[in-house]
Amino acid sequence: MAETMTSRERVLAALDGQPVDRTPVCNPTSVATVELMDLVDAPFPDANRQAEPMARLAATAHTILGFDTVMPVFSIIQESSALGCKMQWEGKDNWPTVRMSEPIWEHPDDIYVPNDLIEHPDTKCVLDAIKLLREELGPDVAIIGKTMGPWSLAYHCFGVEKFLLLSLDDPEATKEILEKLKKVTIDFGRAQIEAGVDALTLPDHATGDLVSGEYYHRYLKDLHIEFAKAIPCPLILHICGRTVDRMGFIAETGMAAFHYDSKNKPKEAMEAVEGGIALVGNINNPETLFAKSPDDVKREVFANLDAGVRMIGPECAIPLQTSIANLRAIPEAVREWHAAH
Amino acid sequence: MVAVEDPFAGLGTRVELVSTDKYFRDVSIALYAKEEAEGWRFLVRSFARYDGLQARIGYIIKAMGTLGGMAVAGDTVRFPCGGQHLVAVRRLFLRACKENPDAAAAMAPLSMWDKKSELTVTAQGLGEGRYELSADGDAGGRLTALRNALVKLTDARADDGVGERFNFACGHDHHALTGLLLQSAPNVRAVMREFEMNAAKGVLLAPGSQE
Repeated sequence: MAETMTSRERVLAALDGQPVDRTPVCNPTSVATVELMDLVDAPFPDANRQAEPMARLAATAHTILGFDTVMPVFSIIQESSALGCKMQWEGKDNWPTVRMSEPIWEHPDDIYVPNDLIEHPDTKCVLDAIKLLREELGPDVAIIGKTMGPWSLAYHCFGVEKFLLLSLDDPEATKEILEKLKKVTIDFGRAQIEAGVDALTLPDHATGDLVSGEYYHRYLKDLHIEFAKAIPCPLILHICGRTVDRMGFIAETGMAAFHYDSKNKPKEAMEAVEGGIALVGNINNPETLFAKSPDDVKREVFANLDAGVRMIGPECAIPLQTSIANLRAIPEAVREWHAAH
Repeated sequence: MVAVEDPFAGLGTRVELVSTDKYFRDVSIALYAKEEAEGWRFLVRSFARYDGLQARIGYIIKAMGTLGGMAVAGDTVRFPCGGQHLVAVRRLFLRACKENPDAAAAMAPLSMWDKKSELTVTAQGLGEGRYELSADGDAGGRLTALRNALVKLTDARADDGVGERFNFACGHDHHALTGLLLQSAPNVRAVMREFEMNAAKGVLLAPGSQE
């Protein structure tokens, strides 16, 4: 099968629902591993805080793994750090986290979003890394950025338990928090577009285990519609866990794609979205990519392609110890499938 | 940006990984396995580019040779039997990476002091890969427990008829490996827990699942 599109053309076409020469392989979230960090001398935490190592590590998704996309925002904490959350940056082989047991705000009135949020070193490094990636990779590779949604930011800034309890006890205060925090999502997203991204992942962790589909509809659907209008590039919503109960709502947001978890079967997910939004993801991380063989990875890729999923990739940020062979099995499987169909 | 070729080609299957080496600049060091005509070959590899890294890799390979009775050839090791012994070689690799590089690794004896039974337990080679545990006193069912632990650590086979015996399916003796893993047998649960914790590290949890 001759490939006639560049990686970037392929990804943008798939996000727009247009025909593609083959299914694009995408990583809306991180595919960084400790071995890739060594290879390009870009270990965590430097690669989460400095533009050059961040760009070097991100580029390996395309140059080493053969994905059609690169994605330099490995973690989910850049904006939260800029907002003043207490951080644990960790070392090379673990993820940075927000110390959510030490929240920075208690009431909606406490929220303060600085005007120079995108000048903070932990957000600015993302913008600089995007510019470096565009310079280095040119126009043929799709660059995906990431801007966190207000539900995730609220977890970080108020604490998970407290915010969830508030959502039960005081819907108005919850909505006020989300309304105030949406500025972070929009401002950081727009800044990344200006820096050169082709699309943005928008994680908003109304996850299947903690939040119901009805909750999604009540608190987030309208906000996500607003994001799709206010942020002028294709948006890829990311929510972990079993989310079939809200996929119908998600399909009505106007976002370009939904990055979905392996807890949802490809076929049922395709039926749930009814063609209203593209799907991407689903290749299981902790069991398949981390611990099984390339053949097992390929089986999951084939299941997604058979179901008609429009873009293929891991379900979420991969474990940092994932083997290169398993990650390379994803684009290999896509090419094998197309050769056979 | 660093220009990269394909350094991952032809390595075989990665079977174990130390994600941060405490003795050398936190580099990641992996063990790759490849089956060749003469049997399984294991390659110790890091993709970092620091000066001195080859010496560090060399130390680990030499330690695997000494601690596990493996034959060393360049940056690869293999068991004399040509077998894979996957569980055992993973354990051996992790142990070799933990050895203090300021001293040469030493082969473990085929006996150890068992704190629980307060006896010295010995693994005696019976030839053709067969071993029997014995103690210098009445160990009761403790020998069978230790035998079962060794079976877990070495992927050997338990002798169904004799509770103190086990054997390697390859039919070859592995004295060094047996001695090494005999020392870990009393703590088999801790060893297996370490395996599991190693596997769980580096997995990103959704904010709602984080502490």
